[in-house]
Amino acid sequence: MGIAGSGGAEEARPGGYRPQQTPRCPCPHGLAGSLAALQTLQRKVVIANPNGLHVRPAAVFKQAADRFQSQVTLHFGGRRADGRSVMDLLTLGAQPGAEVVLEVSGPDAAAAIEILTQILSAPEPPALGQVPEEGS
Amino acid sequence: MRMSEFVVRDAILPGLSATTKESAIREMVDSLRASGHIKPEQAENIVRAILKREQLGSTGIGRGVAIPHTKHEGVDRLIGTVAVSREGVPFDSLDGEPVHVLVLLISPNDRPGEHLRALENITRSLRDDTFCKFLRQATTREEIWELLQEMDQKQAR
Repeated sequence: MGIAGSGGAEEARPGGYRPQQTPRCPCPHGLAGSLAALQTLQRKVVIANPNGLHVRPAAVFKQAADRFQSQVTLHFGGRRADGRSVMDLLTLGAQPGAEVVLEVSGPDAAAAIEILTQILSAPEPPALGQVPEEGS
Repeated sequence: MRMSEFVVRDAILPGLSATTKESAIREMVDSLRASGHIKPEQAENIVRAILKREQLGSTGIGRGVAIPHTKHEGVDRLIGTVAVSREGVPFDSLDGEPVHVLVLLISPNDRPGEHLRALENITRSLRDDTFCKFLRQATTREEIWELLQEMDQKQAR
C-alpha cells in the first residue's frame, strides 16, 4: 500500500500538463535554466471553507497539484503535508480561518501557487475534475 | 479527537464481505444499526446520504483507504466504524486502487469541527505503516479495537 510513499510525485499527471521551457542562459553550462527550475515560492493563505480543509477540498487541491511539475507542500501548526497526498493534507486538521503556508518549488511554481491559493481561499471547492485554469 | 471516542466497538467489521462501494457502505451502516447506534428506520436514509456524498467525489483518498461520511440528524454525536477488506473494494479512489481499510463517519449537522478533528486523527494514524499493516492483518473485532486504542495513545504522546 506504500503508506510512507511520497504521494507519487513522478507519476503521470492528468490534465494534459506539458512542462514549460525554462529560459536558457547564453553561457554553455545553462545555469539560468537550472536556477529557474529551483524557484521556490511561499505564501500565507487563510482556509476559507466553512468546514475547514476536509476531504473534498483536499482532493481538489491534490488534483490541481498533480497538474504541475513543482513540489507542493502545505505547512500548518508545525506540521508539513505533501500537497499531492490527500491523507497528508488531512493530517493538518486545518480549521476554517486557519492560516497555512503554501510552498511551491519547481519550474512552474508561479502558475501553481496562483491556482492552489484560489482553491484554499475559496469558500466552496470547485467540483473534482473542474480545477480552475491558469488566468481564470 | 481520539478514534476510540467515536468508533463504535461493537460495529467494527474485521472481514468486510462486500465487493462494491455501495454494498460496503450498506454493510457498515447496517453494523452501526445492529449495535443500536442508528435507528433502524434511519439506516437507509443514511446510506443514501453517504452515497450522495460519494457522487461529489470519492472519499477513497488513496493508499488503500476510504473515509465515507455524511452529516445526519439521526445522531447526536460523531459516531463511526472501521472495516477491513481482505480482497479490497473498488471505490473510484483518487489513485485508482481498491480500498482495504474503510472508516465510516456520521456527524451531527452542527459540528464540522469534530468531523475535521476525527479526519485529522484517522489520517495521522493511517499514515503509520505498521498500524496500517496490522490493521489489515487483524481478524477479530478485539484486535482492531486494541490497535485503535494503541494508536490513540501513541498520538496523544
